[in-house]
Amino acid sequence: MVNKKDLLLLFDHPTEPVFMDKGGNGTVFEMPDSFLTERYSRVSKNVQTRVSGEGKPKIFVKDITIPDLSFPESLKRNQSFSLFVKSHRQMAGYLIEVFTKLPSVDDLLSVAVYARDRVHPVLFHYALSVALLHRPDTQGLDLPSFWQAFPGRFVDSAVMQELREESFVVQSPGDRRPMVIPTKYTSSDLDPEQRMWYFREDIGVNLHHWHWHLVYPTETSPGADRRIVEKDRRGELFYYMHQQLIVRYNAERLSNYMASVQPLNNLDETIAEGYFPKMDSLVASRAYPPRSDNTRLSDVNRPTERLRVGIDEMKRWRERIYQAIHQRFVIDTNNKRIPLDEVNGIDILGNMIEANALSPNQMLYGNFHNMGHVLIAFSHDPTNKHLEPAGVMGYVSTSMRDPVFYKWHALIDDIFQEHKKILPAYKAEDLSFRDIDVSSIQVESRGQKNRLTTYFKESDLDLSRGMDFQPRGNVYARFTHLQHHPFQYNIVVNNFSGVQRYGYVRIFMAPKFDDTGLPMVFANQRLMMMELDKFVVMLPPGQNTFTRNSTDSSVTIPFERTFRNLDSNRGARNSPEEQENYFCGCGWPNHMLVPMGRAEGMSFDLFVMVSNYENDRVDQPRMDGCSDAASYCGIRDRLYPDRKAMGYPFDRVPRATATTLNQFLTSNMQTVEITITHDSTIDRLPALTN
Amino acid sequence: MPNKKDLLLLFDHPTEPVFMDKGGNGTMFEVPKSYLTEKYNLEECQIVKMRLGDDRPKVFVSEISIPDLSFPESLKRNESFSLFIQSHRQKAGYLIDIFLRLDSVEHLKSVAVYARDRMHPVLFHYAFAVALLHRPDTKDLNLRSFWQYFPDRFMDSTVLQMIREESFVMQRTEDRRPIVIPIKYTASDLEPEHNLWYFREDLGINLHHWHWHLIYPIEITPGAHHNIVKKDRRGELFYYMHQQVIARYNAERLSNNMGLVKPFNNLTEPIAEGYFPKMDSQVASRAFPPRFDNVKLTDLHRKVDQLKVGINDMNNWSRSIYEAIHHGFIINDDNESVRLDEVKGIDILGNIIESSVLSPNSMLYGDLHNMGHMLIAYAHDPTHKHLEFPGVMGDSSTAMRDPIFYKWHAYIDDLFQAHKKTLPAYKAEDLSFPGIDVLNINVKSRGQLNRLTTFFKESDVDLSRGMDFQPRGSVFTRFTHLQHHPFEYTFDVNNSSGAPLLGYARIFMAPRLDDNNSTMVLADQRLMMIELDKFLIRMPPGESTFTQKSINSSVTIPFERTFRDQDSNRPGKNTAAEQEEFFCGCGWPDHMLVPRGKVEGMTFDLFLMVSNYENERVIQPGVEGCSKSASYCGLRDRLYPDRRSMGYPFDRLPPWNVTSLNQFLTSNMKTVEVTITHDKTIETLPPLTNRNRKVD
Repeated sequence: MVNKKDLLLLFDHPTEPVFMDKGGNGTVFEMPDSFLTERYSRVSKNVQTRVSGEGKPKIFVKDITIPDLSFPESLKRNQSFSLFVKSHRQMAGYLIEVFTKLPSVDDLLSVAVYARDRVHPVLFHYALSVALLHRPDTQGLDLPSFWQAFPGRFVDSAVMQELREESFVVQSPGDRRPMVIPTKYTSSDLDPEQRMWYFREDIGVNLHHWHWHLVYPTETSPGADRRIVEKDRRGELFYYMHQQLIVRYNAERLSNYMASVQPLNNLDETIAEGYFPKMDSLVASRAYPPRSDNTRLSDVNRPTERLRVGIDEMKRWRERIYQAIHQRFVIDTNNKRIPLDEVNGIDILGNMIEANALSPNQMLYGNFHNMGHVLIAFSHDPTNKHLEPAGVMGYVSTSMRDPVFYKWHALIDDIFQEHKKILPAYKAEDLSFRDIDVSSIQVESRGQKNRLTTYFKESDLDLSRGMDFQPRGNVYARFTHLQHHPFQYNIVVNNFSGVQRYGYVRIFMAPKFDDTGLPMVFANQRLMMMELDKFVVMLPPGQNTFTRNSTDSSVTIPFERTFRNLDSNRGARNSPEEQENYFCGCGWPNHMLVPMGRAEGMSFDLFVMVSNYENDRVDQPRMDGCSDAASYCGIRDRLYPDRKAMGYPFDRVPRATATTLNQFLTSNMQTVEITITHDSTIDRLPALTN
Repeated sequence: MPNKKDLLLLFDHPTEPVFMDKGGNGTMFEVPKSYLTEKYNLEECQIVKMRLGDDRPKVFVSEISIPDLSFPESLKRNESFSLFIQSHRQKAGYLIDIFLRLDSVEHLKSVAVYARDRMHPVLFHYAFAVALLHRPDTKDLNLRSFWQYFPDRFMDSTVLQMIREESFVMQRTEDRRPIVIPIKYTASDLEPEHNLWYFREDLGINLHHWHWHLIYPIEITPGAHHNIVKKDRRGELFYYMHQQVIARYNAERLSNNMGLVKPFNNLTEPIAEGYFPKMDSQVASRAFPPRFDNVKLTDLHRKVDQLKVGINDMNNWSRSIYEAIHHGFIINDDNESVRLDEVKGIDILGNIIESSVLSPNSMLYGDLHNMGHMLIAYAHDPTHKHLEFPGVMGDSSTAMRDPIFYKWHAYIDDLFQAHKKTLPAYKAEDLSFPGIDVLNINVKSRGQLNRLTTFFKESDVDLSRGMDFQPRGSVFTRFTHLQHHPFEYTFDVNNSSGAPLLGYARIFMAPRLDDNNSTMVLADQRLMMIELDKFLIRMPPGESTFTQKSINSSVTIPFERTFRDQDSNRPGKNTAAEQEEFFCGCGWPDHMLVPRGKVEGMTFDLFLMVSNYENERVIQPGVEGCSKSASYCGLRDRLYPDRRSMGYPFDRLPPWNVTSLNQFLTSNMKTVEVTITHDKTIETLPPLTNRNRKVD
């Protein structure tokens, strides 16, 4: 019997041959000769003796008949792999299906070892991750974070070269020093968009996006198990998670005296914002192509990727989606009408716009969101004339670096909002919780009341698992990220009902003033409401005071989960925590929970609502450990833990009488003005060796 | 006494710290503590030394006081260095001057060791190479080719990653196999310009261009010796070498059924041809930025490079230059007119247009050619808003990869031709050689008469000296290049003067048909004339037969000179031949001597003229060894070995009544029709490991 944890070693050093040493302790796989690729068939044993040797752990790989992998192998290893490209998703779907159908972990190990050097390294990583997440016998494995395997997608290419130097010249890991990833390296102050570097280029933000799409694949092979895609409210979650990204991005823009992002709603117009990623894909050893300022989109026709999409097609799809929204029904492939109602409408639209395999009619409504990514990602080489790979917009792990990501998703969000506008406003009785009054809310951080402080901070990451063809041993990159002092909410709730109740506490926050400096109109402010937390409280009769720590937010995952080496910092074995850890890999990074604010302080309205949990609860076996980041990511294999529409109570246009946030409040709600101050001193680390 | 050959080791592994092992045998410099950079302390050096073993050869470095280097140090090591940028040239000039003034090789070594880890690696390489070339005590050193140290500027970045894999996995050098550089990796067949990949992306051609600019620097520090820049007819050579590049490029275009390159004469028009180099600079670990299709140039203002130039400036400069050409004189700094005459005119114009420090009035005539390179190189980020490096057009080792290079130089050449058009046509007596008749000429190759064959061929080059931070040992890449079967010219000359005469045999070739498949008129064909050779012949009275081999061409350098490791393949020490080797590093690659031709055969007119050497000889001490590639590169420290204008007799318009090449001929000239056939089979090499490699 193979230890299933050995499977995780296959993620190490993804572009090195599979027979090289892994895991940092010289572990090697002992595999049948027939598994080796032609290039290394004669030398692998010698090399293994050199890099591993006596006494080092060996993992025996069983010789079994390998299923046909020629379809996923048809993507060359040094090409680019993009989840936005349907033919690539199909290849991944095929491989996932092969991996999931294998009867045992031993067989899985054999096929994975065989496939590893033959299929594209990112495709392999993605498909094996999805398979490990979904196979019953590999649950509970703690998958390494994507940045560890592919640091080139998160880090300035110049730093990668410095890391090479450090590990070559200073061969003893203990003597190595961290290499500093510069801040603001992709553009200068001349570029106003540059002010958002800490958000767009944050490693945690980009990882969140990668993980989200890993947990919610869009494609399966024909005939394969659809459960991988068909998850509870996944269309709605697509809408909500991306809507919240735009909200958060806009709050950061306001913090930087910038107007809200303009949707990219005219596809014929040039894109003013260029982006020069300055990153190298270690897989292809090719740079991520840039996009110059004022680039215009053109029809994409790239036979290699079987990609063909025109601007006119995009317009047609959008027209049809709008038409469906305004008619309040979609037409499925059997020509039947499916209503876009209050409960399922947004979910159907989410599947349709994304678009994933659950779309009710891909012919009619097309592949709008994905193809927008494709059109932008290939704007520099739409016909493959220059044999160029996709720009950063073509990959879920890099697209959030590009300013145009937000313009594109602002457009996508406008479509969802069009649907939300059609739904009736929540009436006061939909919102209130009889006999429950929230009498006060207050935020406290380091002894300060209703004042939060943000600052920049340096942290170190060990990139050694992803530094291929380099001497072994830890090698650190030091990056700078936004951080805030942890804080807590103090909420006072009165229960006048005389009986015990359960409440669902929902905390949101939005800037008080808009980009012109005027107080925000509520109809706009609701679109700026970022979710901060959601949790259940027990309300005995009388006055109750609750405190809740910001680090427990239902939106975020802790910093350590993403950035620390999992081996050295994991929950107890087989605990429910461990089992859920990977789903938790998805989640907004805790260090980005609150926006930057301004040096002179920036005013926000913090909102709390206690709703009746009896109406909101979803009956299912409970798991505590990691419902941790359920707000944006859901919970694995279970239903979304809230019956209300995502974003409730701000997901709809408010009732006509509520033109300000105050007028919107019922007695089970409360707001408080808080100030976020940005402290511009950077919390630096000393320049120590390991 | 130090062994001055140790200096060459400082070129190895240019981005690694100076104390790392070098030369492939683990040689280490004993670097004084005070010379180390902040990045590494003495202890780390010791650890490295221990690791590599103490029995390795050592190079002692004496500790002297170091001149102030803060000016060249102000260019950050991970920025880009471009010879087209004046502020960079000034930094290089400063460093060159310091290197040249040091009074001994020992001191040069000390300062170079100190400077190496502090300067930009390419700036260091350039300045140190120029200094070694020009110091009397180091000029006989045999410098290796630039590609060995900076292979990243000559090949697909994917190949470099594959080499990393090969040298990491296969630590035993003899198990390693060559990594194949794909052909046609920068664009697909959808891009018509991509037909010319084998020319634009040829290793030898790009090296030629780098070397040419290395031996003809354009900038010096104020107060320094002028002789680095002020070389005989350097302005004219700038014109001629680039004119020939365009002539050769056009011949290749015709071979591919493409129209001639269009000059880029409207700077406000978008550039249709995009270029995606797919190369990474190892120095910065940043990719060379691409240029998309249909990019429009914008005014440059990059404070960091002290670069500010507008399209408007360019138009003003070109207007002033045309005005000077059409008036027949330029205005110098002192407001005096200087005539653009038949002898010096083209040289003055060359210096003005390039422009070099020899430009008589850079205020008025500006910096046209260099700034054109920079405007194009920074088209993607003209204001430094995106903190981007220049594209390939910003560096002489990469510029020739980009289709726009040829459009830009076609425009530059049009300026020079405007001047040539103002000169009187050569009269018959300027061309003839009384008493000499060329009776016939033919070309033989592998038994075939007047038929040349080209084909593609694979060759291996060892990149180990430029692969930094990698396990040591040879690691080869395999590249594909054009080649032709060697050939020889045979011609008969009748000397009826009754006395022995010296003749200068000049051989040119041009396509016969233009891009419309009509016969070219001479006024156009003369611009397509490719120089193939020029050599001295001694003609006794009566009929004599001469033969000359293609490999001895005065235009080219042999393949081996560029691509083989020179340690194992050099002439005897201190011979005159050795002394000239480096100048030979400049030269058109022999494998590109003749154009590709067509599969069905393509017709060329091959032209021979025997002119009177007495009128043309330049009196100077002769050195035989390496006058080899003098046609495009000149001779080191000496005058250009031909008193005629470069490109003579085709540099001027023919008389108005001469429309065909035949009408142009005097009795000392002859032409023959030559067919160049392209054989499509590629001569591939077996995938051998280093163990089985023949030592060549």
